[in-house]
Amino acid sequence: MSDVEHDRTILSVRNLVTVYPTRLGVVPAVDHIGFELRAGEILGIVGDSGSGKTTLARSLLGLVAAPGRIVSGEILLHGRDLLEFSGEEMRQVRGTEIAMIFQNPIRSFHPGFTIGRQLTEAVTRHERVSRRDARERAIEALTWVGMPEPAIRMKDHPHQFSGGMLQRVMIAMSLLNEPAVLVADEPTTALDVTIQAQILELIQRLAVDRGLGVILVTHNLGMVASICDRVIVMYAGQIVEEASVDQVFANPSHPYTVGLLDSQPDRATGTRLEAMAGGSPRMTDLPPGCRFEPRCAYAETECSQPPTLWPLSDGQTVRCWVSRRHGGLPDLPDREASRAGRGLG
Amino acid sequence: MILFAARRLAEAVAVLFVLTFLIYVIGTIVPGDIAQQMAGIEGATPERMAEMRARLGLDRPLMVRYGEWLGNAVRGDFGHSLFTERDIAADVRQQFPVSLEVAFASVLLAVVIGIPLGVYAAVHTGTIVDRILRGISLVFFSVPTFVSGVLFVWLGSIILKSYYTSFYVPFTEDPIANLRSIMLPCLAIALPTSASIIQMTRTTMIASLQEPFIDTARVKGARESRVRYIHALRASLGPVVTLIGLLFGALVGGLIIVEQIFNLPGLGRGVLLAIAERDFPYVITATLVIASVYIVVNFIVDLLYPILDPRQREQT
Repeated sequence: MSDVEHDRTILSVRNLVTVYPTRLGVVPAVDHIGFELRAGEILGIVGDSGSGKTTLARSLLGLVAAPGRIVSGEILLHGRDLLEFSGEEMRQVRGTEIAMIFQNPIRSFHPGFTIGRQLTEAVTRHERVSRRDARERAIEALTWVGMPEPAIRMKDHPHQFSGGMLQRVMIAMSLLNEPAVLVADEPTTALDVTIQAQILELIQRLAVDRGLGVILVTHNLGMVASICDRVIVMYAGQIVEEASVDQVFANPSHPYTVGLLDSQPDRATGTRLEAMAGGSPRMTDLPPGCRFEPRCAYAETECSQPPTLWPLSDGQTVRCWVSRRHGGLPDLPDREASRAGRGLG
Repeated sequence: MILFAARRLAEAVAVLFVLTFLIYVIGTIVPGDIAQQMAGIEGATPERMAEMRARLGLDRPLMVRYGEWLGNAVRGDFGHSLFTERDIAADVRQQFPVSLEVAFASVLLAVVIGIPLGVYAAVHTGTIVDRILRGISLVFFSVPTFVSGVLFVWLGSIILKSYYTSFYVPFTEDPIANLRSIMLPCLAIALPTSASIIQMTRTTMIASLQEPFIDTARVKGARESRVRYIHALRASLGPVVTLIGLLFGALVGGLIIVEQIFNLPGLGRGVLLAIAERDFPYVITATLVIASVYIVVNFIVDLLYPILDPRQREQT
């Protein structure tokens, strides 16, 4: 891994729309999403459950569960549009160019097969290699993720590992074909807190040492703060804010981002947690204007019109009329009162 | 694994032992006996009955008779039929392979029909084919064997006249003729049996396809066929294998009927006749043989379980 080329754009997503038909109408789970991912970069995608972040992640691999489907947009990987690919071409992309790891490592392994078999399978699906070569590559990857006695543990079944160890195996598996992009969907949610840090460190090494572009899907801003370079905040299927990690924490410019930050436990200040008022809108019955407007403490009359993504400064973009007019969110001297006044407190 | 197998084997033998006693007791408390049968209604004076019972050894205490029977049975001597007066062991040796063949062929057929159709229905949930399959299997499941059996006799004698042989030919004599002679009886048993296999396979397969490891397989770049037929199917087999073991028990009832309808010289027909004649020694021997097969099959299922699901290995 000597000639790792960083900062080159490897993945660019443009105007991606993924919908789920439901009985109450078509739900735009991913609504005109666009972003760029560079080699060696960790991009956080943050949002509530139901914000579309997991659908976005699955869209990238062409694994949207039926009846959901991608209706428009582009997913350019090294300049080639994955949405033009046939099923077989897309299958080849999965694992070799885009890898994915999941939330629950224990349930993400087949209970009936050995770890070794599941690892080597990831190689043999794409290449004609001897079993011994595939095995050696698997052992090498296990060594890289810090598995003790990898050659012996290859013969074990998933239930003989802890959750943290399995997530390491999962990461090892995603490495086998040296992909350019790793999509990590809540990779530490099911793990013990002490293990979470180890897994995050491992993911960080993937980006830094091996030059992978990592998309980290999470609802945990603390995790974003510790390893991400840039953040996309999603709300009701849309990007509401995109910024560097520093910008998001120092100068959050969308009221939803502010709400997210307020509802994070913060050891340093020890202030009381602030629960966000209201709930996400029903995706079949979205507000006509800004989708956050009904729960927003900053809302003004123009917010009844749908806002567009607006560049603020230095790569920070935000989908908010108020921020756009003031160049950032103004101070809200009495937010509590304002909320109470709007009947949301 | 060997320890596990040994323990299961010991359990199986113990169960078999308890079974002999239960069958013996149940067989004795059933009202009516061979003496009455042999004496006939008008000749059944109390004196004549007593004499008959003494001659047949039915007047001695239950435990004494059981002990004697068990002692002989262990040596392979199951006594003589009270009705035909022939050697029971010899009769059963002839009848047993017929029933065993029909039973195994039926289950094999049911599996060959049931698992692929169940998988297909699971993969195509909600489609027309899935619904039709569910309807058909419900019908198969609901039609009793004596109805489907008669239907197949009709089918065999009218439509497949040139193909079907209505008398049993042993496999060792002529394999082809043998298969022809058991084809329809096996179908009569296999169809209702396959119905439950279809349902079980469908249900577990649908559940497996929802599991996160299915996504993992897809993310690795496995083809959809591999995801379904290797990853999902393998994870679904445990309950299906258990069901197949249990179905062997339900099979016995079907076997008795089908052997009667299709005129097969098997254990089932023998039992039916023996029950009608209160031929107690024969009934107990045949029941024991049938129970043994059931126990052996479930012993095999028990051994298969930890192979199919490695998580079971440590717990045993």
